[in-house]
Amino acid sequence: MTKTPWISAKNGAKEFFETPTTLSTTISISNGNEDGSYRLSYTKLDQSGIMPNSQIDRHNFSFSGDFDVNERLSVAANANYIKTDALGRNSTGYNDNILGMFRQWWQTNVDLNQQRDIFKSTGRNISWNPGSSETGAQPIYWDNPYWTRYKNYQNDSRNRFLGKIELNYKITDWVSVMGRVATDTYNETQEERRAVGSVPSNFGVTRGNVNSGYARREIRSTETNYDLMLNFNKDISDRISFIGLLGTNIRRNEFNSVFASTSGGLLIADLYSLQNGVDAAPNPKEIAEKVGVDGIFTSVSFGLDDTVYLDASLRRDHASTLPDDNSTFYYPSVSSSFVFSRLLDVDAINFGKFRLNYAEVGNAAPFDRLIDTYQINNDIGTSLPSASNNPDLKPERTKSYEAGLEMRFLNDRVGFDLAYYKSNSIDQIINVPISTSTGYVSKLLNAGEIENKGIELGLNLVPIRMEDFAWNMNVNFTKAKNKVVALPEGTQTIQLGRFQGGITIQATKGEPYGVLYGTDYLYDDNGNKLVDPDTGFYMRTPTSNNVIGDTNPDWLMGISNSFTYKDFSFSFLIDFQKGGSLFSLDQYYGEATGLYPNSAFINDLGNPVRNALADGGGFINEGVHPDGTVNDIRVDASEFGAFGYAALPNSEFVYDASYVKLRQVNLTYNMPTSLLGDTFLTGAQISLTGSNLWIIHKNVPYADPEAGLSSGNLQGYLTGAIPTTREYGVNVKLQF
Amino acid sequence: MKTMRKLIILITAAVFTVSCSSDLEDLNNNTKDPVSVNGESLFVTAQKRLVDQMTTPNVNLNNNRLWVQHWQETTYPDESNYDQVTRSIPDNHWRIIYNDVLNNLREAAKIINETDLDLTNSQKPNKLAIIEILSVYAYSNLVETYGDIPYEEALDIDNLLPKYDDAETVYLDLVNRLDAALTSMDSERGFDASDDMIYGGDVLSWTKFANTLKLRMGLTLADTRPDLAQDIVESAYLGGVFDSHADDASYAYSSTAPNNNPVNDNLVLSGRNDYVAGKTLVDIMNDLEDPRRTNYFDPNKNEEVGEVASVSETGGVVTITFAEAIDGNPVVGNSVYVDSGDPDVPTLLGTIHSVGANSVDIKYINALPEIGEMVFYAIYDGGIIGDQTRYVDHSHVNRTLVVANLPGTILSFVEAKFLLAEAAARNFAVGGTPKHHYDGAIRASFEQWGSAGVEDYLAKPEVDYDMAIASSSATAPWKEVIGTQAWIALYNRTFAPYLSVRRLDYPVLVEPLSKNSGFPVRYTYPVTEQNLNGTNYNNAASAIGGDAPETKLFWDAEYTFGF
Repeated sequence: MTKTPWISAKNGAKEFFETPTTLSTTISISNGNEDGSYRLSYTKLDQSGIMPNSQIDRHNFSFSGDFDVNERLSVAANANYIKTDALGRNSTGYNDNILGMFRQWWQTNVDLNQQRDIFKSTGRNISWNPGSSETGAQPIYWDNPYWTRYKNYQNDSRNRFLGKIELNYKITDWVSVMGRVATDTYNETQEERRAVGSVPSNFGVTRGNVNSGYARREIRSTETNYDLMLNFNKDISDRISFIGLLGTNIRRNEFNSVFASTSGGLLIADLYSLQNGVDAAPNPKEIAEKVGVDGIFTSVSFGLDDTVYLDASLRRDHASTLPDDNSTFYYPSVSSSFVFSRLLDVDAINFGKFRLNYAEVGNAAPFDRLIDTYQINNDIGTSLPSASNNPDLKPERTKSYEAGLEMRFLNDRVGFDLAYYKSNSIDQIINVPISTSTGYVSKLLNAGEIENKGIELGLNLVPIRMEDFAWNMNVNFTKAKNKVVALPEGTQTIQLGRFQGGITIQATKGEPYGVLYGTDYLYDDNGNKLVDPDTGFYMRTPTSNNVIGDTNPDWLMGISNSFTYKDFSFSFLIDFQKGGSLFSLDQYYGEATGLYPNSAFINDLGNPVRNALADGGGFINEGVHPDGTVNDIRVDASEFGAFGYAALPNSEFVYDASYVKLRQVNLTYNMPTSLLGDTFLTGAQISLTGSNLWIIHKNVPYADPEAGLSSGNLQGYLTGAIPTTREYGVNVKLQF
Repeated sequence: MKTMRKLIILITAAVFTVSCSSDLEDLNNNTKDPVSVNGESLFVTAQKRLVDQMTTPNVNLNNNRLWVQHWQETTYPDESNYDQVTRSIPDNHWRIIYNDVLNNLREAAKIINETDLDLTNSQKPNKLAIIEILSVYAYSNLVETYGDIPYEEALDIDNLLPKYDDAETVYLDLVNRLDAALTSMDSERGFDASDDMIYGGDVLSWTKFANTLKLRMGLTLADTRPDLAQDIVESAYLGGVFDSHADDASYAYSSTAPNNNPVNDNLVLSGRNDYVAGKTLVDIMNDLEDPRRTNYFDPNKNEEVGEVASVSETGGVVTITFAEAIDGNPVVGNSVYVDSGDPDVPTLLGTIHSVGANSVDIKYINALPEIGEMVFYAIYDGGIIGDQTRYVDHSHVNRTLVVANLPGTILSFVEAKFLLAEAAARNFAVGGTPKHHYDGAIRASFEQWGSAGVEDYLAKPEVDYDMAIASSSATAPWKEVIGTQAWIALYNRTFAPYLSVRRLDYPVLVEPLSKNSGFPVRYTYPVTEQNLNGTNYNNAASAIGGDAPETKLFWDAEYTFGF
């Protein structure tokens, strides 16, 4: 064995990533005449990902057609079949999350190409971190990342069919009836593997520690909709138009899944089947859900002189998932608009419209949320569930108001659309985390009221419009504010998310929805950070219930410019976000393990901070002792413990998520018909596109502020963020 | 045209048939999970969850082996340095005890009460009493760990903000509940054997368990409520506490996951090397030449003595003579081994009794070496508390403790004997002198671990009760003498030694290298309580004197550690 110096590796973490490519090809044929039309298309998508051994293949076959049987009857139908096969989606847990490894504690002297070569040449799980000093020893804690990607990969495949048949019959010239049946159904298989020779991790149905295994989930899901609608369309007088609708919608959803796995490892290496387990297989986990909603709705819409419009609608839903006495609910909407420009005779004003809308939407619960069922445990016995259901659920409602003004001036060269909205979500059905001394972790509740309000401004400008050249500019500005107006009875806050490091994201009455809580510095009355006079380290709050950030941005803006010159067009979009906080677990751990430059600097004495105190290393935390004296204690930074989570409160790792980004650039050339004259082509277009080309400004270190958790309505927590990729594309469109 | 019209009519008819279905709500029935179960199936789950949590060394769940300095972490010593927050230890313990243990016990009692209608025998009251006893065990652990806790208003899904109750009031109520449960029991049938994973349905064992628990709770009150403590302890003793190893409250784990011992899961199946022996324990045991080291730790640190030339035996002492002068520096008390063919499990020969120039005398013979075999001796070396330690540099947890089917114990005969010694030292009437119970406790511990040489051990001046008392400089010397031995004996028992060192304040533990707080004499309250039950949390925090790890609980009068 030869010793190598501890230097930064030539091929660092960056080398691990691949250049992702996407190739999408579509062929479509469409035709039609006065009796009907059809469209047939086929799309093939080949995508390889940023992680090694990741790809998605998709085939999409689609047909749609319509046909007038006679003057009164027409039929339309479509059918879509989509087959998707995906390989090696990135693991987002802790143990196999390679991004978390690179961002939180990676050993920077390790050469990734060496890791790749030793895996490829031996086919074995040999890594930079062997469990013992013996030659070829098994790794400990983490697998060789190439082993993870090429041996412990997951894959899934989905066959999806969407289809509908629709009949329209004109009863009279102003009354028609439409009937439609539509279905969206898919079967999906998901497979997970751990190859023999892997570092043990929690796997399979029981999440037990195993060093190999196979797990499989089968999903069958179907949504079917039946619609029957009576449509009325009649001008009541020369000045008043009327459109009416009376309909019913019946929706049925079914979801079935089975999750099964081996237990205790695999008997035969590289054979991934459920019968290949060492121990008796655990009980599989079965889920069978059925949801139904029967809806009846009506709407009317009047127009006066093409100037004033008034629409009103009412819907009644009967849902299978709510208690009997609350399962039927109604929700109305009213909208009106006034095109006042028609009454004005001002040349400069091309268009002016004022609108005022009110809408309510009701929603039912997910499947089986009314009574508690017991769990049959895989180890022994039965248990109460940790999440308690609620037999008194009510439907959730959103009530929203909007007022808007849309105007265009100067031959449509200047235009804006300004909207103010206020939307209140009432009785949202949320699984609310509760004090576990209740015996449960959460309870399903109708969660009070959350108010969202804001303004949206869209601005269109055409600064230049000439025969061969035009410049269009679009600005979108959004400023939204939300507030928790009321909480469910008997609660003090809704914990929306809880993460490693004791961080929580919460909704508290009177506060915005989505405030970060955690540990913080302690300050004296003058705002100085307090330093422990015994250790020289910052003092931290013992509790984690301190506000350390608000995840909501102050405002968002997008500015797009497009230029057209003859057959060329060029456009670019710049996006802005101002404000909003996020917590970075990557910095929290990565600074402690010494990955980031701020954990190795030249100190105030001019020495490397990592030197021992005796050799002039260490640093002095700026702050005061509780007695008010300025801190002068030099802390030792020669070992683990002086930086990152080990030394600082959660609030230190909260960053401003503001950014300015060059989001999209597009250059398109439309081949003039004069050039195509003698060919079989009737149209040709080529475009170059670029996405996420440049983060012009940001405050979050080493990561894209948008790379955080984005599942559901949570943002503000960054861990193992996948690097944002710049995307370049070529798009060729030929018409025959 | 006629055919078309028929088609439409057919479709609309079908649509209305679906829409008129009156059984819409029936769709919401869960057809895969049970709506009702028997209470016994909940009871077995609660038993397993409780024993799992009291046994596990999982760094996210239970770090008491680290806090009492029996073990030390290797790469990430955060928990050895009392970091409770990063891995949400207080949250996880609280949740497991309230949700997985207490709530399932509550539901088990409710169902058994409602469904077992046979009132002619005592099985039902016995079952309910056993559930009550296990509930008291779980609650007493919460009070001893946190202080004030939700109690009167706990375990009620209709009260999401349960108030906290005064710890001492709860504790005394728990003792009363134990008394009531004991009164309601007879010695007839309890649970069926298959529904009682701890005692296989034996009701008498549960009464001994209840009395031993009561003994422990009584002694926990002894520093602050001595008169009351005496009543509780003496009545527990008269009621009959554990009197043999067969009484141990142990859960029989099986050899395969998910019913394997959690120590096996975390130390073996995880493939991780997170823990080594702790320096505090190893140093004290080395000083005492404690034979139990052979059973507590692996001989992974060892040195060669020499090749066997001859073996002779006189009066229980075996002399091994080597071909050459001995290597290394073996001393009295070291265990000696020969290779067994399996490098991980060498064959134990015995313990060195004396060392010559080219021979050693060994006692407590386990096996004899062959001529020509290489003999080596084990060195015990613990990781510095709070330091980053290398796995290969220190003694490992003995491999007999990491086997999958090692039983998990939540209350033991050894513990009971030490408690009686303590009671006797406090002059409570428990049928013997402190020395009598103390010697019995140490003998029981040696039996439990299968260690040889207890009589020699008891004769050591540092161990002999009277000599040790005489040489102790502690204010209450018996606390140091009994406390140190109890702490050694309660190895691998997590919460038991944690309670013991807080109650007796001995042995004096060492200051971890980069501690996050003073010695945690309690868990801080869960972050979920701070956030989700804030008002009650704040009241409780101020009632106990601040939600800090250093806040001494109502029964904890003294603190002897120097940090």
